[in-house]
Amino acid sequence: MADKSEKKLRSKEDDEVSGRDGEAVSPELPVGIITDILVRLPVKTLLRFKCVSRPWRSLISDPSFASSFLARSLARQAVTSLVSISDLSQPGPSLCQFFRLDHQTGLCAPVPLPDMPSNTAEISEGIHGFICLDDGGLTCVCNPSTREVAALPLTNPDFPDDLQGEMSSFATLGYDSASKQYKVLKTWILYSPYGGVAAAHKVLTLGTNSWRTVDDCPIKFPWDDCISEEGAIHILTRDSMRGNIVGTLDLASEKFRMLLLPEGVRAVKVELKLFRGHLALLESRRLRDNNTITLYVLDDYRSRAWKELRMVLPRSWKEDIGFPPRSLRISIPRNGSGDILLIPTIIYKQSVAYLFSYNVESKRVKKVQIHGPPFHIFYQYRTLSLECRPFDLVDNILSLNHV
Amino acid sequence: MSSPPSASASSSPPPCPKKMITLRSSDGATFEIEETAALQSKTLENMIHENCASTLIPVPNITGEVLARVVEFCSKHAEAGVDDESLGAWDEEFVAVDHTTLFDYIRAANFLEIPTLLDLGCQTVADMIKGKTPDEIKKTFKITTACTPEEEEEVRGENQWAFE
Repeated sequence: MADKSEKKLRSKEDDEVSGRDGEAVSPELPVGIITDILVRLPVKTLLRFKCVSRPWRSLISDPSFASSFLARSLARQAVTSLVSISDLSQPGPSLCQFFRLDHQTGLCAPVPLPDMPSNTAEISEGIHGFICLDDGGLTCVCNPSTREVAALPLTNPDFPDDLQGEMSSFATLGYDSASKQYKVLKTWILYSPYGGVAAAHKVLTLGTNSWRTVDDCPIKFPWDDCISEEGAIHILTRDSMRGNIVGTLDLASEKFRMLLLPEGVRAVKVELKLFRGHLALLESRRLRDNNTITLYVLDDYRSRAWKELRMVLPRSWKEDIGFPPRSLRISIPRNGSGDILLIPTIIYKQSVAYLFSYNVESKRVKKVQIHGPPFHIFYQYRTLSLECRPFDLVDNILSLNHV
Repeated sequence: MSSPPSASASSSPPPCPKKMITLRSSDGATFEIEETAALQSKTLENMIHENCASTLIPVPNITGEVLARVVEFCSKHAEAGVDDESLGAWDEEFVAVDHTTLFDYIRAANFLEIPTLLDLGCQTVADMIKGKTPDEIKKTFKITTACTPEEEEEVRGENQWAFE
């Protein structure tokens, strides 16, 4: 808040504090107070208010304003998720659209984003609301709050020329809290027809032009999952000898560490999550049959101490919903209420889709129907089902042009 | 909820309960406020602890009309046994004023460092201006400088969707 350091009586002249250009942000209130008011407004309103005057445009575009704005967003409890809905049944490039899904009402409202440079891109959840898209060649970063999409400088894995084969790539965005910069990690995995696998990794600081090679990386196989937290990016992958492992990139040093997983999950399918601020492995094979979700929470990174948390949903959760969900995505919103969300991965035409919220403390499940416009644009005569993926939704006014 | 006087961190002897402080506005009007209520203001808290003997505090930046209301706010928020819902309703009525008066409250809260009043004031203004056009904003905040048509075009171009 404004002027806490000034404990002395202020005279009337000090009330009018100038904006960056020497012109007052307002003769009525000091700039610190105007800032305190503006950080409470939605992104859309703020973008419009850039038109008010040059000092207002300066203030709203300032990275420190974006910082204060983000801090408030992160402190607020998340009640919506960003959801991408794709039609995968069509041949050729798939139509992918984004929606805001309200956890309490189930209402899906469209978030029109600019056409992504590629329709076949893999989307990964970055951090602070940013998402990352990669289609092998081009990597992009998107801020759904400002509806901006920025293409990153192109780069190649620099494999030796004689190495040929099938290549896949993966990318995600992280935040280096030490330098207050966003960094993108990209991995290429090459399968040679003779049976060898090669891997390459590079990092780019957002706002700069050149990618740096990362050495000594334990990741030698495709990413199975990834998650970013402040200061680090965690990648779930496999190791030929150890089964599932997690490679953690420390974003300040740009060095990797390997994390071995608890015995019980080295050979089963798990997902990476953040649970109450801790890295966790989610294992949900027995959800449909046994109503069980198991989380292995990394209590202490240093000591590698994992704590097993088993959650058994009441059997009633999947009753009276007609078409039982074939597969569900489990989402644990980072600043959510603590509820675990179960979102159907596939939404079938002409059937009702539900969003389930499981409260870890009360062990109760609430369900709410997913509805809203305009699902019908997907349901062309051929489309039978849509794929649905949730992402953390964080209001962030930082422009990708000012990173 | 008020905290008992002895709970405030200070090396001077704890102030007596129900001790009254007198504030004098810029136009010479005086207002009595209980010390516990005055502690809502960090500025007043510091002055009270620096100089326990004097109970008359001049507040040259704030007029009598505004100071009266600020005293009312602090007293209400220092009252014991008020539940959150009624306090919320009381606050809502308190800020149901025109924006000029609201700005007066905010300036007073800023000067006297009353976090609760400052937060309430800023949130109320934010809610009030959310739907306004840039021209209405200029009027509300008495802004005379404007963007050139080119600058305005630039802003609209950057984030077209916000203007639809």
